[in-house]
Amino acid sequence: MSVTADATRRLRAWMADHEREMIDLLAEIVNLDTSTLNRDGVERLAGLMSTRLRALGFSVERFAPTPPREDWVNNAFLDGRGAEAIAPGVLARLGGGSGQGRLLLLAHLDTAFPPGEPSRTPFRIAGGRAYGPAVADMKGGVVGVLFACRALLETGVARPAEITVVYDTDEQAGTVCSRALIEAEARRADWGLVTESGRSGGQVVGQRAGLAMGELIVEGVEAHLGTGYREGRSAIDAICRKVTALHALHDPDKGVLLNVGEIAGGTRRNLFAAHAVARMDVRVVDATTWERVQRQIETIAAAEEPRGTRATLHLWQHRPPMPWTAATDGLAALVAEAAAAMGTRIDTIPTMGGSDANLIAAQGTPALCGLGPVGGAVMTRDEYIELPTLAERAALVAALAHALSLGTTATQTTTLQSLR
Amino acid sequence: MSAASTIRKYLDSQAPAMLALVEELVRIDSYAAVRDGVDAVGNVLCRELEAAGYTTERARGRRLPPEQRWLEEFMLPGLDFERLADHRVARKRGSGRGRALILGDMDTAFLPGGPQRFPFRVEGARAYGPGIADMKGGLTVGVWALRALAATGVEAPGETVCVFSADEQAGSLSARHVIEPAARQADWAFCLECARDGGNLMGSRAQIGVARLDVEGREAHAGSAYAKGVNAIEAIARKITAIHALTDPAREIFLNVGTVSGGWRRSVVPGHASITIDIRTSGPDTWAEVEAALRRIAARDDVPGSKPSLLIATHRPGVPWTKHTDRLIAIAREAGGELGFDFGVARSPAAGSSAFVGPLDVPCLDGMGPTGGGLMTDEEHVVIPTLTERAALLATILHKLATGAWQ
Repeated sequence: MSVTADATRRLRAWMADHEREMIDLLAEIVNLDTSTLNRDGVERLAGLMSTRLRALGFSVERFAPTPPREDWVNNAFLDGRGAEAIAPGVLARLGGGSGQGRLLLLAHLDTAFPPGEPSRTPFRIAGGRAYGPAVADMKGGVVGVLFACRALLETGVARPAEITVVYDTDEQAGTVCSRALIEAEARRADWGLVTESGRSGGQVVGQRAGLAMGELIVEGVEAHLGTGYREGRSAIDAICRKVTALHALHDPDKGVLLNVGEIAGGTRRNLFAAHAVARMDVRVVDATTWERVQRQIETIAAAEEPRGTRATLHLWQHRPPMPWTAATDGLAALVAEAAAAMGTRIDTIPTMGGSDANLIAAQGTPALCGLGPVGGAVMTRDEYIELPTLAERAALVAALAHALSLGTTATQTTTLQSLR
Repeated sequence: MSAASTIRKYLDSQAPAMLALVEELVRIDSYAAVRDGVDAVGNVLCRELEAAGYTTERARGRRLPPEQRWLEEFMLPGLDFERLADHRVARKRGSGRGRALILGDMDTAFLPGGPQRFPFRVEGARAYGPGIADMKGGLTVGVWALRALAATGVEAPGETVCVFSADEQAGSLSARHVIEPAARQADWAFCLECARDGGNLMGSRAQIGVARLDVEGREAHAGSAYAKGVNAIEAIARKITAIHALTDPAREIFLNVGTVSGGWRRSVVPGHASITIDIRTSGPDTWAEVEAALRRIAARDDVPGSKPSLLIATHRPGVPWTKHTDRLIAIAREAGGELGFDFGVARSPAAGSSAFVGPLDVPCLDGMGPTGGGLMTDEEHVVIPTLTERAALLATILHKLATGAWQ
């Protein structure tokens, strides 16, 4: 039995003893409405988590959101409301660990739901699952980070010399305002662990897609259908052709996911629409694929069809791809070992989702994601987590922190190829 | 002196009073949802016609059956049809032959506050203001044509009935139930829309309708669960392209997807998308053809798992150009000749209150109002001298019909 296996089991036992408390906190914060632009709600949660971290001995600051770099980004991600719409994030530090290195633990406080969702579908438990808006994405992970830190402190196992917790407040808005701070903290850190929910099969995430956001604006020529059909050029007609062409780029086998998720256009049914806008989400497996897809999207946007319509494209890969590296192999092996010590099995896999872990990895800092409780149906009314994994994953995070602080590399030869 | 000259002379002497009536009407805010405003327009019209010996009454339309209520919300979102102003009916017996129906609309397309933002003004030969062409200028023409018949004592039809609608801009869904019974009693109908393209009357009007197509897909996260999603925007995009391809100007078929909305978040496969469609066709046959095509496009399985629902209705049946139309045009041209002016007659790809007389086979001329332009913009205007010209034309036509021109 290795030193880390013993510590892992102690951490797991501590977590089991505190499961009730974790669930209570989870219920409380799921029922807080922290829709990204609901600044007051996010502020309440940020205040709550700051208090809890201070109680553990962390020094806690609130960091101001950085204004979005361009108007369209502001409009597309923040409804044009700017950084003022975003509550300040939480930056908490704890030095004095007996082990090595600096660890960054990251979770976001905001949710993708429209305002008011918790009052419509409040937290509930049924059949071994907890349900509620953002219970998986990622209030379970918010709880997990806090309790992982507490477990490290209260069990007294070795921990990294410095632990930094960042709770950002705008992940669902593309981390537009917290990006600079996260990048700076990623550069400072030796490792980054992000507690987005684990995959529904129980895996953690070692590789993530590059994520881009696109906005396509088409101008037509407004005219009355009855009297101006010769002059009229419908922006709706033009944008629909582009939507169909864009969706034709969707090709999961080649690592391209493209979703036009929003469309709006026109003002009256008897006028040729002067204006239409579509917004898309584009995910690619790697940088090379992105270069190709980006060019294809630009070509589709530029096509003048019907003649007389004109399109403007905004496209920004706000989450660069997070590739699988040698460091990922090492982290995956640690996860497998810690899981084994806890009597379970946890694999590390690539996904086509993106998260703040992409931003950490882009700074060259080894990162893992999906370390929150196992869940699914995110952003729907059926969003859930497997309740027993709430404590299990928090114990895993603590165990990884401990293992990393010892400079441990995996002793067990994991069949890495099978993990990919 | 001929009847035409008598009428013309009388109306020329009343030109200032006609302009004053246009101004009075234009200064009233009568968007269909502004009940008091529409009612005030009705009061003015009744006052003017009572002075010419007309009896007037209020009339209520009927609501649509429940399965068609969507059309009410569609035509004027947020308007409670129970709160529409009354329609107005005015009638008077005459000594001549036949029964004439005059159709006018009291509501305008301008949102509440129009007369404050865009007040009545006269510049040269033009008068400007919200709803002046569509159709307060026409109302003035109608009222003064009937006043001219009364004041000059020339022979008028056996009965003249006016129906003034309160909801034309909202699709005449209510007024239809007042117009149709009146049309059944009529031998000829005239509608007071403004003249087109420098003075043209309208001999036919399109059959128009509206549709709303909704597509339900299935929401799913665009990363982790993309394959579980059914993209409603993609489904509706393909349908829109097919719908626009139905437009065929040579056959007077026009379709326009005027609004589209769908999805709520770029990273979620959209579970819903919706469009509104304006449909104009030359008549019942092409309407039936287009409706069938739309139903096929709606039902098409563009994206597996998507579920479309189509609501479609034709709220204006249209006015076909018949041999009766030709006869009525010939009489109108004769009247114009006596008055000293000519005009063209056009086929109109739009429709209004006259739409309901077509299926009843009542001969109809539309565009009897003054020459106007800039409809629904802040350049809406009428050409002032055409107010008296058109009133004289309408009065002379009615006189000719009363004295046997139709027989």
